[in-house]
Amino acid sequence: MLGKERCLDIYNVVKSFVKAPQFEVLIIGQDESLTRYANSVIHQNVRTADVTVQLRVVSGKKIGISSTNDLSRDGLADLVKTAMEIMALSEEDPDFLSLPEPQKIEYPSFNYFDSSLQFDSEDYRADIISKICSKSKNRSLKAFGRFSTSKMELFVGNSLGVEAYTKSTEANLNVQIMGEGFSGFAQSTSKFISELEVERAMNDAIEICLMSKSPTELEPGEYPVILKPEATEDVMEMLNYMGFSCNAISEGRSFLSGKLGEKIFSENISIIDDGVDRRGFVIPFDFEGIPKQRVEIIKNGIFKDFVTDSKWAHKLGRRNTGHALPAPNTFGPIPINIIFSEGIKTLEEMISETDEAILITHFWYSNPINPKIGLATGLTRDGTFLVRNGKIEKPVKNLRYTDSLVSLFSDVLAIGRELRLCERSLVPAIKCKSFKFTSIAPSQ
Amino acid sequence: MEVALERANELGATYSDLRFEENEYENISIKNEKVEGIKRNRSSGFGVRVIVDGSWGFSSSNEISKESILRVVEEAYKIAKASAKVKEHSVELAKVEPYKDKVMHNAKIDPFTIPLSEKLELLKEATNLMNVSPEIKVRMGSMRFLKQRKIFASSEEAFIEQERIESGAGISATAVDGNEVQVRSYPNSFGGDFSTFGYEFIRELKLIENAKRVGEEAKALLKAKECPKGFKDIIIDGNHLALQIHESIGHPSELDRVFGFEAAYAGTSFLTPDKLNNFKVGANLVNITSDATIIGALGGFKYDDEGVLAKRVYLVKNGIFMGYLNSRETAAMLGLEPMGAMRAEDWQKIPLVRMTSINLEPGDYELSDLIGGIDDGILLSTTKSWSIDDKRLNFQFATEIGWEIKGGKLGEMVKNPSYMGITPEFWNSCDGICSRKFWHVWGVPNCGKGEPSQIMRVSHGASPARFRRVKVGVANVG
Repeated sequence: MLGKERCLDIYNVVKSFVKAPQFEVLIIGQDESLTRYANSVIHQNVRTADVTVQLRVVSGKKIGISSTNDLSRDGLADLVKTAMEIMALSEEDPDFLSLPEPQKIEYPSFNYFDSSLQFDSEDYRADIISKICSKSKNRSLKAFGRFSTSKMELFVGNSLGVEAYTKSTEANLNVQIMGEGFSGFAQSTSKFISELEVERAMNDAIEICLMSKSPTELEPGEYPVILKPEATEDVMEMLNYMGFSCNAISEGRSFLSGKLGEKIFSENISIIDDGVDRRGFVIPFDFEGIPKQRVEIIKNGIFKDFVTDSKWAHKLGRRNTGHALPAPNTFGPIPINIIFSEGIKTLEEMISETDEAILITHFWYSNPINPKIGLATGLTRDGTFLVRNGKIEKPVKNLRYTDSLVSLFSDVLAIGRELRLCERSLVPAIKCKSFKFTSIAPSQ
Repeated sequence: MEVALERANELGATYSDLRFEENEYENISIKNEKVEGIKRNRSSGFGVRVIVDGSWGFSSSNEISKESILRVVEEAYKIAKASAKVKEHSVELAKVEPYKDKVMHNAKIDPFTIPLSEKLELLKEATNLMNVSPEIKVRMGSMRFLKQRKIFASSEEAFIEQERIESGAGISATAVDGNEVQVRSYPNSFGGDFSTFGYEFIRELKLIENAKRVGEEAKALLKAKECPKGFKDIIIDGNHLALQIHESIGHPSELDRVFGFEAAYAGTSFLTPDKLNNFKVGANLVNITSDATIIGALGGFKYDDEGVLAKRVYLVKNGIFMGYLNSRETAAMLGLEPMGAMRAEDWQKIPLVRMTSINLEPGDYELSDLIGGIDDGILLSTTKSWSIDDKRLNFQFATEIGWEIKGGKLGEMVKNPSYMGITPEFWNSCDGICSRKFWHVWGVPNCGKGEPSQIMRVSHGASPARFRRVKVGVANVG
């Protein structure tokens, strides 16, 4: 990690070479360690560290962008030369107004960087994995998964006075437990390695795996579903990808296009994006150095607002919500800290109050078919169960769904009261009235 | 490099290698005739892989100095020692020749020497030609280039320097009418077509010549009838058959998957070792090769990232599953010969078993003969959506466009064509493959695998092929 002072040094070196009316320096430092295990042994164990310096130079509406990981004076001089060359050859972008002016960033008062020795320890990761593998072997099962830790630092400075620096950490433990033809999965993720729920993830994955033994085939068709938080996150990620980006909404390609103020989901669904909520991963500003705004995207099922960056805020005449990704961002600004509102039910209550439903641990290989209606396909994985008469009756083979995920969230019967951090989203378990399954995945 | 390998040896590594890379990228995207983004990126660094106490360790850094190299070697050593705490067997590597070689790139014209203005002009003209009606809301054009220099050195005294250039481009038109959205791409979706040739490849893509047709097809799809449901005979065009080969034969042939190394993420494989040399994965006319020696193929190279010389091997011969994509480690586990499929996305990443150029070998049909042999069917072209289960058996794919086939003749255009199947049943239903005249090696720049995630550039040789009694219209939920 470079630290803020070294980032400022790099900024000043770049500044000394730039001959453009406006410029922006973005520095992203990453240090990631990742240990993978399979068949109850560690088979891959890696660390990687890199720093990327990206320069955006601006003259009027002409822009040049270049990046490098050569932090030497010569490397930075070359970076400036390349960006200036691109700018000179570029044409004007009529939608571009200016680099953003500085805005006051409210840095969280709480800590979101893990500086413990354990965070960098390959021995600590190996010891946790050893425990998971031993417990699996005791049950005649095999353990698979990964344990990763990553540090990120982000600096943004521009010639209009933006100067922002932050650093954060993420730790993630994935546990997949397998028997012969059946499996279970659980995960835990946190800013701090000490807050990972190792026991819960390990025990849940083993329990789900043991419950999954000897799955039977269930006739494809429409069924109510209970999604565990990880499955809810899979659906939310696909909806986000298909329809929540400012570009997709504005260009008419999204299921949200032209529907601001309209009811999209069940009225018990509310979704915000908040980059400084202490329960999630914290990033106080975006890749242009603009403070992250709390955006109420869905309130009581109604599409209320969407995220922007400086270019799209100008183009659409809306506020800049601070959701820029590194330029040039052809995908458009998109929520990356999604938070659902909690419901009132526990997962156990949802199951006990169900006549018939399919309980899903998580999904695999979902892909969009028609983003305009939220149509997608994918498969269940690592624990799919038939719930009948208030109890988990039996495991079933993995099923392929082909359905509109917008429709899935349009008739939500219950929302879990516990939010779990999955990937970068805080999500609950959800019970939905109907989901269409179109085929069975063979288990050979 | 000697410093690294000597230090690894001093620490007690039984094997070590170091891979140094310098990469230069250029990405250009045009949207509605305006520049959406131009970016050049330079990235250099090195990665060190060691075996200590029978286990792997890997570390990498962008800091290229003697101190940094020694620090990274020691990190890799410590990581390997930690790995060894949770092992059952020691890693063994199948023996290979330690080559010393220098390999030049395939490009006639270095794309980084072509002025940006020429590239922009080509893309702007092509995107403008797609603007055939107000319904064409988004017109995209893009080019991507890579120039790479890579040095591999190992404790077994291999020393290989390789240069590589990659070039690719494509266009797409998105038509919108109310709730209807249709996309047409050329020459393929997800960025077009890619190769290890230079800018001459871009000029041969004929983007301008095809742009108007692409716009017109996107518009026509808005009004086209829905793909019918039911069991039909289908012909899959080469640009989508590439994806079918990729997902249902390429990935399950990766031997690390078979051994469960990817189980918790990318999944496993139905092609278990008991099926090697005896499992009928396809019809007799189905021959699928892994061939990294094809000049210009995006999945081609001379040596992989373990220094193994590239080869042409059969994965499927006369319909029988015959071989795996492997690494030195996984080859040794099955007593096989390494065939050179270990590839890393860049210097930061550890090599994994990846696809090379995985090809459905051409047959002897004319396309008109394939169509003529269908009474009631669909011709499908250009990948739109794909999904397959974690064993690579149950797949469901959709293409951008299709045409009915009635009485041996091509008929009306259909929208939202989709089909599903179970891998061996599907490939056993193949009864016709077009000849080499129709065969093309499609560059696929976005193959994802591994943790940390790695995006690999691979390729697939394919010509249109016919499959009997396939379930179509499966994504039509209306």
